[in-house]
Amino acid sequence: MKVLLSYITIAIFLLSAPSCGKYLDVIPDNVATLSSSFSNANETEAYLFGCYSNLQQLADIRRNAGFTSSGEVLFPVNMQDQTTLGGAGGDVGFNLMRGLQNSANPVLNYWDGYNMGLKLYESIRMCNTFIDNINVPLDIQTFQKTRWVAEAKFLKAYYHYWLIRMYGAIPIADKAIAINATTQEVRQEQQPLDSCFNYVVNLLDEAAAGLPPAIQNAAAEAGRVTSAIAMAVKAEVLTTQASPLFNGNPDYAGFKRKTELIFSQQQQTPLNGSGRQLPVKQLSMQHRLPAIASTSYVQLAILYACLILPENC
Amino acid sequence: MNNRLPCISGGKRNSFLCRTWMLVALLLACCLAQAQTRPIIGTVRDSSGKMMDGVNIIISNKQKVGTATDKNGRFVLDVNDGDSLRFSYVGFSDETAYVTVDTKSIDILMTQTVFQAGDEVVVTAFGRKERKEAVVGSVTTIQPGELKIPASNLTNAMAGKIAGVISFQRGGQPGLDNSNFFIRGVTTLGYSASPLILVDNIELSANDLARLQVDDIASFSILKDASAAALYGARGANGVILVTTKDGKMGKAKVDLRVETAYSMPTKSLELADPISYMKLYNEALITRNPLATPRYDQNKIQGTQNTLNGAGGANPYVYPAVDWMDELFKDRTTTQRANFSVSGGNTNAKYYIAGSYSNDNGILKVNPVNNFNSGMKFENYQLRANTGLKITNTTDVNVRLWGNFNDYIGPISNQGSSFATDLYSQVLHANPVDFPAYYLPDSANRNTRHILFGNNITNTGSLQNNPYASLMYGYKSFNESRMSAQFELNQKLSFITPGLVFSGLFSTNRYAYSDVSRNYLPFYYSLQRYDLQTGSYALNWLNNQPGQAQEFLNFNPGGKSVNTYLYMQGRLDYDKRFEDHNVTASLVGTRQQTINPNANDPLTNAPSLLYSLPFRNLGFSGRAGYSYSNKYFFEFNFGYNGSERFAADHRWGFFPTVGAGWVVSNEKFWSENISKVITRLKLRGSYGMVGNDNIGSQRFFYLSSVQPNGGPGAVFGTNNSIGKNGTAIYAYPNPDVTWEKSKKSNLAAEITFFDKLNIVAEVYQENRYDILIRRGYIPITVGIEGSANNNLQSNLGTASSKGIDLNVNYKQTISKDLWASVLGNLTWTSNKVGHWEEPEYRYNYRFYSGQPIGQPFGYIAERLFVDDKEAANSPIQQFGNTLPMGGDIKYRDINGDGIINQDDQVPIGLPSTPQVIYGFGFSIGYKMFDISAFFQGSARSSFFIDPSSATDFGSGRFGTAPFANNAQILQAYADNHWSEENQNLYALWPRLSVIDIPNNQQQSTWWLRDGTFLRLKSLEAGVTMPRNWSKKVFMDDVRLYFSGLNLITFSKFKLWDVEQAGNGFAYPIQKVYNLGLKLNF
Repeated sequence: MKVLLSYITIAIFLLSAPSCGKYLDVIPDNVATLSSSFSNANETEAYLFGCYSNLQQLADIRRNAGFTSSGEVLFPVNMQDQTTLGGAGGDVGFNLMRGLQNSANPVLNYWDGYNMGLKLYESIRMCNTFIDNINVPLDIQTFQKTRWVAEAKFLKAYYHYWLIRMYGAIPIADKAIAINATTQEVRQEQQPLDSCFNYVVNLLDEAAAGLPPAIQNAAAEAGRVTSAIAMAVKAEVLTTQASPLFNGNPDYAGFKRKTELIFSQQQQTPLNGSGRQLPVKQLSMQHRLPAIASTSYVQLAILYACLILPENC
Repeated sequence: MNNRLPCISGGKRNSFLCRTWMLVALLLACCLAQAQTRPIIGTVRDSSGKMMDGVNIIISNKQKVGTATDKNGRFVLDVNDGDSLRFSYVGFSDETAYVTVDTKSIDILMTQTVFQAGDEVVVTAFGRKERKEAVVGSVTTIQPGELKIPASNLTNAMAGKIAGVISFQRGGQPGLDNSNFFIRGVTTLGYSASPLILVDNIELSANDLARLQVDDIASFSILKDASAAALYGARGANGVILVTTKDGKMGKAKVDLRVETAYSMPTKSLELADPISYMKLYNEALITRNPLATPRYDQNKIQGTQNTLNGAGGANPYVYPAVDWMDELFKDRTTTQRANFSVSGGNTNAKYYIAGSYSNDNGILKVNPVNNFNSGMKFENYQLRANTGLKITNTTDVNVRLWGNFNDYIGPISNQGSSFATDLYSQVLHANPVDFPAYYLPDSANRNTRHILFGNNITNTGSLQNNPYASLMYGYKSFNESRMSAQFELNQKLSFITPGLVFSGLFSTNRYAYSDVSRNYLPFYYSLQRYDLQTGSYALNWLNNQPGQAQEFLNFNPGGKSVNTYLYMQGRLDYDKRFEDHNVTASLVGTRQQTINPNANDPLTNAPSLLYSLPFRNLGFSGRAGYSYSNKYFFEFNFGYNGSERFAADHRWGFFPTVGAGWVVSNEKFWSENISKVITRLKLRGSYGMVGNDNIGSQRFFYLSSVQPNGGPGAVFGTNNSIGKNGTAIYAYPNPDVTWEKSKKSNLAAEITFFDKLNIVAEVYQENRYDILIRRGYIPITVGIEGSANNNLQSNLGTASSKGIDLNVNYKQTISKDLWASVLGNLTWTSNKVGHWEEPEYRYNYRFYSGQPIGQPFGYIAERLFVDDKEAANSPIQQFGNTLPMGGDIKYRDINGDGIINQDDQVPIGLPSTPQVIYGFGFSIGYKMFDISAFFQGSARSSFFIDPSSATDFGSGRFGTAPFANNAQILQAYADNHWSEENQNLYALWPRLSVIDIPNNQQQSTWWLRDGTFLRLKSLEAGVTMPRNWSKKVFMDDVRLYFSGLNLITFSKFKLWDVEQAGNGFAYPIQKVYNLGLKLNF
């Protein structure tokens, strides 16, 4: 009898084995994770608004070197007072005029995001995360999906453009790198300048294809991007690429990264929007522009501008 | 005939009486026949003639009756003629003896079964007992008696006694004096390098291990390599400490009692300069940096203080105070007491072991009787343990183990409020010795005041100075901690399925509770208002008289409370079968374990959180299969298959296999008699396998993201800016591939016995650890990780490797009947290296951490002090902080020759602070009733830094020794040996004095690097055991009186404080103990 009891105890021990698999599932289901942000269309749109956030911040003139270093503004109050320009540090942009730009803690640092700069790479990653997760929510309509993905692409392209304009050749963050990527994978490489511009232009083209031509519901959506905006930005990007600071700049002529030249050495032959060489005779504008702007990039840019806004040509 | 049996034939008149008498006679006859049970005595010896203690003796047909032999091998038993007695003992063949009419005494000679004389049984993973010969993994066992030291903390006894353990103690505060210990050194870069601690198969913390009583321990084993720890799978990579407590033994109740009382004092006290030197050097420090400064202490003050010190007439200690703060706060020595008892006994059906202990450690703080609470430091520990074993049927055993461990602590609080006053020494260093006395005796106005009148002084910034005496006296903090554990174990022989199969099931739970409370009043500070030289009367001025700044009644601060629960279940099937020369063994073990901390804090936010109150769970399934042939060749295969809730669902389980083999060369046929005489036994073994470490961090659920939807930046749209939403803020990115550390270990060992007396075990091992979870330090901005998450990204990218040698030598010699001696030595030599570590692409190779030993410090190379200001101006630029160096400041070497001293000149300097080599050696000698033993412990290959700053942030480990800055006193060593304009010693201990921090001299460099090597006489014990005939007269079996000492002598090059405290000169000092003890067995 006693032995029987002991066998029963053993059986109880052994029978508790099948509950093994679920024993290790301790997380309750409703803990907030990244998928909560994409649980429905509403939350997903909120995430998109988060991607827009830095774009709207860029409108802040305190953050714009074109404004703060213009030397054309008179301020009625003492700028050293740290409450004048929206709180402590708001006047940092004006330090450019005071000669206080430095390498240890740069003013208007758009790379790291300090001193009235913005964390643009974080926004780029937000856009990438958005594009990666857009298929998660189940109640998004297809047209919404197309539009929002296009908006995210535009934002990504625009942030990259802002960085290229400030820093020249930069690493292109096309995908959100997983945080358990190896050390080598995490160190994205600086791309040659032309690759950077081409990337932005291609992305703008993709975005323009999915964006509406104009905002219908201005009361709710004024401020969202449209295909016209995308094209206009593309024109600006191409013009920038054509400008002598970037295009064949002799000061950066020999700069190499490993073996590649960062800045192209000579003025480029024309490329169309998809990156292929255009035969010269397809250009309708054959003006011989002054030497400074004598590249076909300019011609192409002017072409596009005229296509979009013909009344200005 | 009729006469003899009157009743049978009898007439009527006698029949009733007769029959009664007949009955009585028969009964008496029966009793007389019973009374033929007679006691017989006997002895049991082994084949060498030595008396055997504890041999079980049972009467074969009366299973419940039996006894055991005593220490002299004797026994007494009541037997009948015709009884057969069976003698049995672990490791020996059973003997049977018959009792016949003639038997008066029985003398038995027992012979050992197959394995060698003296071969122990070793406890391996999950408590399996295995013959030492058959063990192919690296298991070191130590006799529990070796770990007995006169201290209340078991972890402090391990250093040098166990080959393969690196251990060091950083402080001696009662209750907080655990040693840090690592098996085979620090082998990982990750969160935890500490071994798994299992007591009776349940996982306990180092604090619980510290409180175990040595007298309760039956076996203490360390599992070091992959083969030994393989059954623990994902928890065994850092090694396992396996402790089992005693079970009862058959026989009459035996009582053991031990009482100890000890004096304890610091091994080395910090020496501060006297007040006169303090004042003179303070003036010097002011003027040497700024020749136009006015000295702080004028000649009157210095002279007046000198008078006070001399006790001359006209001295007034209140006008010219001279306070020795060390003496005000700390006693020279203190006492500790310990007592423990145990009762064990039993019979064939039930065995019990009951033990209890009490220990009381007092701190070395002086207590002023004025307070009606006692804030002197005191740590008390009570324990009660009951292990009972029951034999339910012939094939079923049940064990129940109950254990309760209770700690009570009371001690002062310091200014930090929530600490345990670990900074009191630092406070003493940062108190001015000449500005105010510790306290004033009441003046006429304060005759009836009930609070202590602490002295103080308002500085020129308007704040009060620090009065360590007030910090000591103004409150107390107490904590109570308890752990109660209950365990039920069932062992069932399943011979009906197949002989040799045994099932053992274990169920265990324990609960831990902790609470602390502190109470304090706010001290009243006074300064001297006026002093009348003639009459000696004085008046005091109350300094902090603003409302709410000082109060007499006690505040109450309820402190932390924490509770946790632990549940563990284990089932094990063992199979052991011998077929002629072949022996097959196999085991399967399944375990499940759960720990819950209901009010745990999230380490990222320091607040309670849902995720951290969820249970921690582990499931494991492991097994081993072993085969041996003819006791010469042993093979073993182990595997562990573990899962834990820490990892994502599809990465949860891991498989950890190991193989091992052993060869007992001395059992071979070719091992002739001649060789046997020299090398009695030679065994070679090796193993290779993989184990894991799942204790990867204090953060949980790395595979989950942590976000706050609507908590991030947002945007607004619409013509009226009316539509706005916020995006998501990400606090932690998900890492779904997070996994445990993996370790591939290989181990080779040789066990040699020379002349049957000298045993040597030498092991060589190598380990590669990979998938270590490390903080990603240098992820470029281009990856775009958001804000707070960027500080805490972790990934399994780290790798490390280590290798080393363990050596253990012991020698026992019986010189004559009365004289025996034994010598013991251990060496643990480790070396480790960082493999992959995430760091930026430094320009110079010497800046990389990977390739260096784990924990390697980096710093500048200091050449000497500058000769003068001109040389400082012409040397490579050393700009730390806002000032440039002067003559007498430290000159660093410009390694890369770029003319600036900056981070590019930082090279690896010194060695890590965890020692790489720990060794110990000792001897024991016994002669008749006296015995003496001594043990030396040494540590080598480590270094540490003296902290030259003035920072005293104990939370981040800063123990600044800088004089004068931050109101600090000056160490005597600095006062004697510093650069000054009179004595421009370019190699002095302390550079040019200053009253503020000089960042140039506070950089981590070789100037402050010190060697942590030391050799200590760790323990010394001398005892007298009363001869048996005397102790029998007082009804005792054994009486032993002994004197023992701990940390008696230390040899080291470093003289400022106890070198084992390393960089923390202000820790509560490590204690030297003189102890007297008495042990009784009866």
